[in-house]
Amino acid sequence: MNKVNKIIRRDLNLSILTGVTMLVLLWSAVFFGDAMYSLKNIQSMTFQIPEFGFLALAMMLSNMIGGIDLSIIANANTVAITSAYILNGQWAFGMTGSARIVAAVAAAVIVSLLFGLLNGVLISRTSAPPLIATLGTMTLFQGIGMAVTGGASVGDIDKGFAQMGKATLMQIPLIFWLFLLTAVILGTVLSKSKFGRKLYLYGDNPTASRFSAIDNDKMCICTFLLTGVLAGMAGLIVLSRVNSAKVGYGDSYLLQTLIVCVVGGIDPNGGKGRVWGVLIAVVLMQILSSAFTIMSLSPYTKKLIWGIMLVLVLGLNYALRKYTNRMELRKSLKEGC
Amino acid sequence: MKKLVSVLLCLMLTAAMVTGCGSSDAGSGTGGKSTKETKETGEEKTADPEEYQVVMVVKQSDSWFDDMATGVEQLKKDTGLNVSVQVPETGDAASQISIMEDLIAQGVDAICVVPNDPEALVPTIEKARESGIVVVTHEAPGIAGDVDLDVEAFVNEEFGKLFGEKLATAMGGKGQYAGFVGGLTMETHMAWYKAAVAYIEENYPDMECVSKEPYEDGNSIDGAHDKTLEILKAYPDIKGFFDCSAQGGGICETLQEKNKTDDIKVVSLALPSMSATYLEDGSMAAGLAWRPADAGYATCYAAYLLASGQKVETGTDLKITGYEEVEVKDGVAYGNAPLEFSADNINDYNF
Repeated sequence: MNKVNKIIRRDLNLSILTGVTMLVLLWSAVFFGDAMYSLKNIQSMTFQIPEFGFLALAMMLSNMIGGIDLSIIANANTVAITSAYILNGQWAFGMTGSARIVAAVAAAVIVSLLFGLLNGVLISRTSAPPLIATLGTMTLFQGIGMAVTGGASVGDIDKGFAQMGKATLMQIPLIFWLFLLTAVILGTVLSKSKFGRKLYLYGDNPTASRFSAIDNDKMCICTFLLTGVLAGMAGLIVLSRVNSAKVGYGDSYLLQTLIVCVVGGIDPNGGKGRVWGVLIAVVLMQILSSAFTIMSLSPYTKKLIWGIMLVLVLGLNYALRKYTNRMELRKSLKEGC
Repeated sequence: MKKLVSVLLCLMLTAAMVTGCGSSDAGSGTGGKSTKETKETGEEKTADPEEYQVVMVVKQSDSWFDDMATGVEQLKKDTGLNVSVQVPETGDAASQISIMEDLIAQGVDAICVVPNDPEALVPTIEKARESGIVVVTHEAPGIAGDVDLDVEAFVNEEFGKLFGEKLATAMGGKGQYAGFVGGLTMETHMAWYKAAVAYIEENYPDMECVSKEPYEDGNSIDGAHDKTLEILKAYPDIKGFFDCSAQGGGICETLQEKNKTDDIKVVSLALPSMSATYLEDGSMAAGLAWRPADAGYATCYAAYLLASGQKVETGTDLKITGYEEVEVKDGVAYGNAPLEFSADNINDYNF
């Protein structure tokens, strides 16, 4: 029992989240049975997770350094629009077939890196609050997309690329494997590498990190570069799924990524949280949203439940932190006697 | 230690409560299962509406789509068809797609959808049709080739003629007039505008359109208001306006400011929620629209017909006013269901 206790205590947030997820899984098994756990539904859910998941990871990174990136959706859409123009031949410069796909992916990476760089430089050099800076760049990225497309959707893309969104490996969509792989790599980098440790340090206390000879500006720019690329990947996945790109697609994801990060145990003030938490939270979110569809809940009920969840998690986190602090104090007092 | 366990227990209980909120609605999920079973056993398709699960996915939650939902409810009462409405949290193609994905996985018989962004939905629609689900759209004639059927309230030209007819009647068949559209790129508005002008030219030689191209109100009340001011200055003798977007209220506002509501007649596309005041105080002569509830009813009924192996062709009766004898052309079923508002009937509707 002590051992279990220790494991649970090691990361209380994560344990709670895992517990709640298990509970929801069990509950949906009882109420929906086959409707939830059929191969078809699992496939459908794993098909839906990646585009949202990448955005959630992007939001998570920006939260980890105590910031926020409001421009991720606009970034994803503008990246998707650029790639769509290459894939439908308008900006292909005579390339055909798979050369186009390679060019489109390369362009996506470059454009998203540029967007990330802009965010990073803006925030680190001008010390602008990330909330304001990314609100500005969000409007800017949207504006670029709007100017290029005039608000219309860009479609008619290369069939090969469209197939990539549909392809499956071992019954599970390829894009889900891609998401999983990215999450694992990101998780390992954050928890094991020097860069990761610096990032946590910088996020927790920028002043302390500056005095520890960490280049804060570089850390900030690197983080937003990563955020940008992750958002760009989300854009590519959207493009492969809906075969068209448009300004304003997925605007509703912005708030949801924030919810997922908070539920996943990321501290919006920076320095705390792990990729696994967000991963579990994304899955939890998807299961709940599928369950809502099965029950055909009204949008108001859905919003109500999301709200309750957010408040509940925040409240519990607070209560538990207080509780553990008190326990530790008591323990140290006892030892002192 | 005990405290920790009790806290965890409490947490689980609350979680169970939160997630249990909607369990009473869970019946709709099992309904889908039973129809799937009958399909799997390979029975002949029956025409019994209760055997089929049809789901309508609307754009978002507002008074227009709330009215559409009442129509769908009515269909359920009338025929016993297992039909329900799914409302996305926001008017966003992404939420519609995720709802459709879930429905495909549930194996419903038919999905009706009012697309936010028709192009973006095409891959998901294809996926649904590949798994044997009938897909019927409404307000999306542009992707009629990719779906089983698209249902429209009317042929656009016929609806446009009504604008002309109403305006001519209100103006007594003579005088200058001007027309608005939301934007020159809006296909439906342009179709109505052209039909209206053509109708007037043909039947009322004493009426004169002041401009070759329609004016744009930019789909905003303010836009309509400001443009009207300009037009009044340029053409002081103007006797009538018609607006193909639902912003005719802006024109009426201007006329009220200038005290010209008696001399100048206005006909506009109208929503009761937006135009009731103008119709009642007489500044708007007539309003035109179609009833979302009836459109929802007809769309879902058409989906049921197709899912049960029946056909929707020219002359098919979709069992609701205005759609008793649809006209099918290139995968689009046109009803004849324009709705005319006047001061007398405007309060009968609430969308």
